[in-house]
Amino acid sequence: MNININQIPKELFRFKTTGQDTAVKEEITPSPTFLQDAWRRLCKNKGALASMLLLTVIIILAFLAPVIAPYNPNTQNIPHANLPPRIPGISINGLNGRAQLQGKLIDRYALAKVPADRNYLFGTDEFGRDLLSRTLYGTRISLTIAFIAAILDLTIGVFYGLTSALKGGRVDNFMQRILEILTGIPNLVLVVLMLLIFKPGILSIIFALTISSWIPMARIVRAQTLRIRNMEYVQAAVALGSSQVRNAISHILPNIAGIVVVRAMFSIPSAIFFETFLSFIGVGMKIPNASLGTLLNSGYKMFRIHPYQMWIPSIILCIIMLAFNLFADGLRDAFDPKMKE
Amino acid sequence: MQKANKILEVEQLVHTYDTGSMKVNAVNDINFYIKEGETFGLVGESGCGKTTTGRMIVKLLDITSGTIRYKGKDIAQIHHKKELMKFRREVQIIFQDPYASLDPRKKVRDIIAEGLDIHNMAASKKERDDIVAELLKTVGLNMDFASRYPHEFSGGQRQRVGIARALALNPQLVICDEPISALDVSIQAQVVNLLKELQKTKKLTYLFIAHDLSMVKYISDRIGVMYKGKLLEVGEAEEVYHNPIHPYTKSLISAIPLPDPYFERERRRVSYIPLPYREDLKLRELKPNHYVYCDDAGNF
Repeated sequence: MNININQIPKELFRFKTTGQDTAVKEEITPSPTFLQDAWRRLCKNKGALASMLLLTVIIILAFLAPVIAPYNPNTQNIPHANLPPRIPGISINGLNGRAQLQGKLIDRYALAKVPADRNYLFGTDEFGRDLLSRTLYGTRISLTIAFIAAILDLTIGVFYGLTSALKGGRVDNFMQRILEILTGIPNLVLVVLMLLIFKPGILSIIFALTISSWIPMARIVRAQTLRIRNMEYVQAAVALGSSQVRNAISHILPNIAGIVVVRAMFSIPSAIFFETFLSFIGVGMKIPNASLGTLLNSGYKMFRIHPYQMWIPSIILCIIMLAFNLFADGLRDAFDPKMKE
Repeated sequence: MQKANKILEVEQLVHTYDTGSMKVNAVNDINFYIKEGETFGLVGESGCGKTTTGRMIVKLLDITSGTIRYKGKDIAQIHHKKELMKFRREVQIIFQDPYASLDPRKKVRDIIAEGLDIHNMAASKKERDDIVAELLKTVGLNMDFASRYPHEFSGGQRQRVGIARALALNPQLVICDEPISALDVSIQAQVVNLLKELQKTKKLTYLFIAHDLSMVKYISDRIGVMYKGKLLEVGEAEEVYHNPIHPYTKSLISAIPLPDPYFERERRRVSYIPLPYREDLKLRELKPNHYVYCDDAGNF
């Protein structure tokens, strides 16, 4: 059988009409939005969910410090100095007000003649200040600084990165050189120098963060914007007549939102760590005010005699750092599952 | 059709990609025109400048030199915002990769209605939804798909969404930048037939870019063959397909497989060895309406 295509009359050639792929009428429910999807994935991640709950509790407690703190964090009460924690109803050594003194366990509260109804859950420091109240206030300061860092990231960092990438050319070049100069300024030296002008305190820490903390974010946003800007859907929007500002808001930002949020979450623990570090070496918070760093600073001097004074703020710091990192990890996985294109 | 106006004229068009150390003429001095209502097919191998040409026509890329005239007006001279918006409404593009051309964070409704939003063409949310539903119906998609995200669709469905987006503004000239090369063959036929049907009902003019000569011949009225930034042959589709003059076109046609084992056994691919560049080579009309890139004596 010799079928030659030339022997078949041209008129007979016709494209086969295939069935419409929408012929099957099905019940279509609206699909979950991106955020709903991300939330669902986050809920599956036990570690991240637990971290989130823990963080919520810590944040609420810290910001309610003025209400729930049992004592004024800065009031000294010398007779009650260096009391170990005493939690009513618990008789484990270390949490019942007893402490080693010259090789013997002694009820320090009885020694200091503390009334029976006056309990220091986290103990007191060398000036008799209640450590629970100080920890609450200190956490509040640390978290405030962390959130300021995150806000700086989200505003300056995102805006700078977007502008740099979208303007391009000479503007981009110039803006990137400025970033490099800012990166070159050593943070610590800057903060120490600022002590000449400002008193040590929250202001100088925030200023130091303002100068440098948003730089990684600006770089990430720039890189991501450059990537997204050349995607065909942005090109299509340009062909439809979309302006650059509209593109940035309606296409680029939503598509980099996941990365931006995750990056901001990761910058929170590093800001907390920065504040703690500054306070620890004595250029951070002013003296009577508590922050996790100043608590650690005064705690480590007494570590051999009154270990609880360092244990407690260290544990709180560790929990916050760990929870933020786990939560940021969980968020990253939720936003960027790599399962869908 | 023969007397129709030229909707698009391309003259001595050049685009140079400058990488700093090297300059590449992706499009090198090409001339062609498209008449209103026809389909002009542009074929050529990867990297020959087809897509660059298409993007210059929709003003996504700057023209290095030469002119593109849309309805007699040089598009490089369109600066005024109002004029530019009118141009954007009338000239639309359908992209090659349906997986990259739809914003993954937007619902199909918002993707299709993007043009309406930009040009304020829908007075109310109801009207907007109605237009979107109508467009979805036009491209053969279920209206309920509007509330879904692009990743829930197959390639063919996505390409239909891309077509609907381009059609939302009621364009006159549509640049189809390899709209079918990312799709498999059965879907290609659907999309091409859809494009043909839309051309009939909406009186569209197409610049159809592809590398598949047989598909281009099926959809196009006239064909231009590109190679390394040059147009080598331009003519009526049937004429170019059956009586190719330029050796490159012959080589391309010899490479098309046919579903016929007897023919296939004897098919021999003609390879094309380009001659060195000569000053006197240019597009000349060797037969009526059939232009070939050659020198005075008709050598290639």
